[in-house]
Amino acid sequence: MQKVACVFSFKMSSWVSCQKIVFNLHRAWSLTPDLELLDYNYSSNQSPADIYKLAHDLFTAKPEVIVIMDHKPHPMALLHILLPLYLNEPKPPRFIFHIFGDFSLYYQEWNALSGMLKNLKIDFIVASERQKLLIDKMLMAPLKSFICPFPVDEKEFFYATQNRISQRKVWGISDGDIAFIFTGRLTLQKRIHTLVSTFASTVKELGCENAHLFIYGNTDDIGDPFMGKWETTGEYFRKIHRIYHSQDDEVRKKIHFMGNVPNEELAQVYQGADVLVNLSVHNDEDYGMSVAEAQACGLPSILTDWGGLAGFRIPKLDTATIFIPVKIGNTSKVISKSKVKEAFAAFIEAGASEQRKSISDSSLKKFSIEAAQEQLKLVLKHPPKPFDDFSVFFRKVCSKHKLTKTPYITRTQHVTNIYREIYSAYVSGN
Amino acid sequence: MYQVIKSQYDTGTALTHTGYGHDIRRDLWPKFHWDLYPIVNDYYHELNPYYVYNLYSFDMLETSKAITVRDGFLQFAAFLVTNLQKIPEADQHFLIHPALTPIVPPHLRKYFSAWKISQPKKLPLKDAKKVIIFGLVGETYLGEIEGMAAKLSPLKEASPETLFELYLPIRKEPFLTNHRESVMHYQLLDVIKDVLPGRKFKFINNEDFFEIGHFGSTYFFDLADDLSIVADNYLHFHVASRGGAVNLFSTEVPKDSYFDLALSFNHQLHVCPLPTVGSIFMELLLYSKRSSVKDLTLDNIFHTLVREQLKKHP
Repeated sequence: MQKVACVFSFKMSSWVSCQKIVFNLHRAWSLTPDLELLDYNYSSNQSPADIYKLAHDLFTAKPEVIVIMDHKPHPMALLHILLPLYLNEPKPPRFIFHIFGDFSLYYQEWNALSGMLKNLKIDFIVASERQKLLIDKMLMAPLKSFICPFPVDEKEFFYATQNRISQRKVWGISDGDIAFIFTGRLTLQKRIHTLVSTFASTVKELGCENAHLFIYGNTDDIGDPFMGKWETTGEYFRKIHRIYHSQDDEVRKKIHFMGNVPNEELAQVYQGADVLVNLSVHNDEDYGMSVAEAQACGLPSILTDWGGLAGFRIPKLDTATIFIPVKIGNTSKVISKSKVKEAFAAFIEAGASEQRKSISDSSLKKFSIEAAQEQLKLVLKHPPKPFDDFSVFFRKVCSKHKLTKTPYITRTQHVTNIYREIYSAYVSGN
Repeated sequence: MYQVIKSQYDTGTALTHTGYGHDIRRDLWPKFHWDLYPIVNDYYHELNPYYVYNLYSFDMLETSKAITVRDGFLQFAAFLVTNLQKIPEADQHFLIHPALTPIVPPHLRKYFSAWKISQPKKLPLKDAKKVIIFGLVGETYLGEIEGMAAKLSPLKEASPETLFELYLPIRKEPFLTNHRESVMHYQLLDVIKDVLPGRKFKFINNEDFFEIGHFGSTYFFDLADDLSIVADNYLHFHVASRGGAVNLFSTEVPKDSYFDLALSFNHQLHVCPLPTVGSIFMELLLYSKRSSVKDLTLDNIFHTLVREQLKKHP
C-alpha cells in the first residue's frame, strides 16, 4: 500500500465547477488500487498557525506521495513551511500537482517555489491536451505534464431518454422543438453577447419557429483583464440585456435566461436539451466541466476550438461537435460569427440527434471517474524525475509580469507577442 | 423628464462605467467612503448610480444628464444645502430614493424623480433555506438597540430547517470625528438570540460572503435602521443579481413607473415621479447658515436635525 496525502480545501470553492472537480478527482484517487489516502484540509480561511500545523502533520504522517488536488489557495504558503522539513530527509515524498486553469494567475508564486522544488520528485497533471501544450512550455525539458481529464460522475450524468419530456414540460416547449443550451458563468470571455446575438440573427434569418436558447447561470464582472477589458459589476449584464432587448418580440420569446440552478438539476436540464453551445475564449479555459457533463448525457455541441474545449472532439462521431475557429487577433481573441450562425443552422436543420447514446458512451469512456483513475495509475507507474527548474520561457513570462501590470497588451491595446507565445497553445494548429 | 432619462439610457455614460470611470480621482473621495466597504461598492447601469458625496466637482456630471443617487439622507441633505445654486444651473436630473423626498427643495422638484426597486419573484422568507442577517455594527447604521427586537421579529416566520448566518462587520461610526467605544456588537447578539431562541448561527466575514457564488434560496435580511448612510446598499444588488431575496425590496412593480430598467434577471429599477410630501429643506438650510462645521456630512447636530425633521414627515 502506498500512503498518499490528498491536500485540498474542505471549504467549498466559489467556482461551482471546481467544487465538483475536486470531489470527483478525489473519488478517482480513492478508486486507484493499493493506495491508502489521507485527507488534509488546506483552505483560504486558515490562519498561519493552522497552515504551520498542517505542514507538520503532513510531515509526521510520512506519506510517500503528496497530491495537491485543489486550485485554491495556491500551495506556496504550505510548501514554504513543509519543504524545508525534508532538507535532511533521505527520501522525501513525491509531489503531484493537479494544475487548473488559473495557473496563469500565479506565475510569481510558482516562481517563488521553484528553488525549493529543486531535486524533489515532481509531477504536474493537467486536464486537457491544449493545456498540456501550454504548461509544457513552462516546464524545463525533459519534464512533461500528464493529462488526466477532470472526471464526470457517471452516476449523475448519463443518457436517459425519459427525462427529455419532463424537462420540456418545465420549459414549455414540444418534443419537436430544438433546444440549445448554455450553462456556466455569463461572462465576457465566454462570449454570451455573441451567443445571444448570433442565435437571434440565425432564428430571424431562417424564419425558424421551433428553436429555443436556454441560458443557465448568472453574470459576473471578470471582464477580460489580460486584454485590458475591465468591467464594473453589472456592466456585462446590461450589455447582454441590451442585445436581448433590441430583438423583435418573436425572437425574444425564444431566448430564455434561466439563472442558476443547483448542480443536481443540471443533468435533467441536459437531458431535455438538444445541443450544448459554449463559445468560450476564456484565458483559463483549461477544460470545460459543463461540456464533459453535457456530453455524458449525450448532447451534441457547438464549441470554440480554444483551450480545453478542443479536447471534446469525438473522433468517430464527427457530427457530434461543431468547432468554431478562434484566432488571436490584434486586440482580442476572435471567433467567426458567421461560423457560429452556420453551426446553429446546421443543428436546426438536422433536428434532434439520434446519436445521443453513442455520444454519451464515447464521452464517458474518456471522461468518467474510472477513466481518470486509469490515467492516475499511469502517472503513479511512471518513475518521476527530479525537478530542476521551470523553463527559460517561464522566466521570460515572470519577468514580463514583474515589469508591468498588463503584459499582454500594448499601450495602444494591441495583443503582445508574449500573449501569442503563451496562448498559441490554446488555438488550433499550435 | 422622460426624455432626459431616455437620453441618459441611450448614451449609457455613467461615472462607474469602465469607459468613463478611469479618470475619477478616488483619492479625493471622503475618507468615510472607505470605512463603509462593502455597502458602497460601485456597480453600473445606464442611469449612472453614484454617491453624490463622491462628486468632488459638479463638472463630473457633464457627460451624464442623469444620476441615480445612492446616498442616504445624511449625505444627500448636506449635498443639497451645499449645492443649492448649482442644481438648476447644471440642469441635471437626480433620481433619489422616495424616502429622501422631504429633503428636496420644493422649487427644484422638477429636477428630481424617484427610483424604486422591485423583485417580483422574490423568495418568501418562510421558503428560504438560508437567511443571512446583515448589519454594519454601529448606531448610525443600525439605529438604537431598543428597536432591534421589533426589526428582527419577521425572522420568526422562517422555517425551523432554515440555516442562519450572521454577517455583521464591525466598523467605526463613519461620521463621528471622535472615536467612541461601543458594546453594540454584544448587545446585538443578545437580542438576536432572544428573538430567535434555539437557532444556531454561523458567523461569516467579508471573504466568506463574497465567496458565495449563488444566493438562490437565500434571504438577505438587512438590519439597516433607516436610509441614513446609504439608500442603495451594494450588497442588495450583489445578492439579488445572484438569485437571492432582499428583505427591503418590494415584490410589487410600482404602478407609477415611467421608465423600467432590469438590473439583473432577478430585480429591476423603476423611475417614478416624486411622491407628494411636505418639505423640511428650509429648516436644514437655515441650520447650515448657522453651523460652524465646514463639512455638514460630519456635523452630528445636522444629522440629528435631519432625523428629527424626517420623523415629522414620515
